[in-house]
Amino acid sequence: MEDCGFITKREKSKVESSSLTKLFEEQCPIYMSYGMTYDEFWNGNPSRAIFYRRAAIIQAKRKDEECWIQGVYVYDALCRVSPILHAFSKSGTKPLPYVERPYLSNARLDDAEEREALKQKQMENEMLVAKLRFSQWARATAKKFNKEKEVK
Amino acid sequence: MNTKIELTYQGVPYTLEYTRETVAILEANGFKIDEFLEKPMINIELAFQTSFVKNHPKVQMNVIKDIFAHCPDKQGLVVTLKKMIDETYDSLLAEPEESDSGNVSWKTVDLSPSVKNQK
Repeated sequence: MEDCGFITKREKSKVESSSLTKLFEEQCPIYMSYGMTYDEFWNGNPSRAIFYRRAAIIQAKRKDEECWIQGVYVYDALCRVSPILHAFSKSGTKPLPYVERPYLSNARLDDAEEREALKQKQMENEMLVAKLRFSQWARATAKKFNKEKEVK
Repeated sequence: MNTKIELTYQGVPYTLEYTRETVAILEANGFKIDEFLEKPMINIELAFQTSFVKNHPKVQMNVIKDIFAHCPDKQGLVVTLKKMIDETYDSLLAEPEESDSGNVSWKTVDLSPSVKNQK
């Protein structure tokens, strides 16, 4: 770039207050903290900065979610241990066991499928019980009706 | 996303664009974005010359001046150069418009002087 005959920005600038250069120099460390390299910032496609900025926002959100879920685990653990933290708890009191699996593990999703199957079975059982009760009531009513007929 | 000017001169294709480094060089050589249109004689030629720095740093100044002299639509050229310079700092501050779908080239123009003129 020195071959072109221009004054480079490293030499003394003719303009006392370089507004755009100043802005770029202020923004450069910010975008480097987003992961953009120095060379990319100064010599790359200017529009890449938009995507680095968006990526930084997504990363911040993800980190925030990770911190939140960590807080949930701590809260859950404290709640499970709380029975024995009580000063006057009865002897033999035991804390609840720590959660078996991570909240987002595949095993917990399988539990959801099992719960769904169990729910379906329970509904079928209830229907069967209702059918039995109805048939009992029908037999009892028929018996009563026949007795009354005989009496007459 | 990134406006470029593509042109051909004497059979050689040129792609003119800016990076932040070249805009900093532009300012170091006396360019002020606020005075871009107020002082056209200095600023437009300077901006045009600096747009060669990224992809064609070894092109001679007299060639660049010839190309500039042969540019047919100077007003359109000025608007495009300003847009290209604006993009270098707009990308730091603003989100792209929804309709922006990719790189926009200004146009491909053959600026080679005609054989008649050369004679």
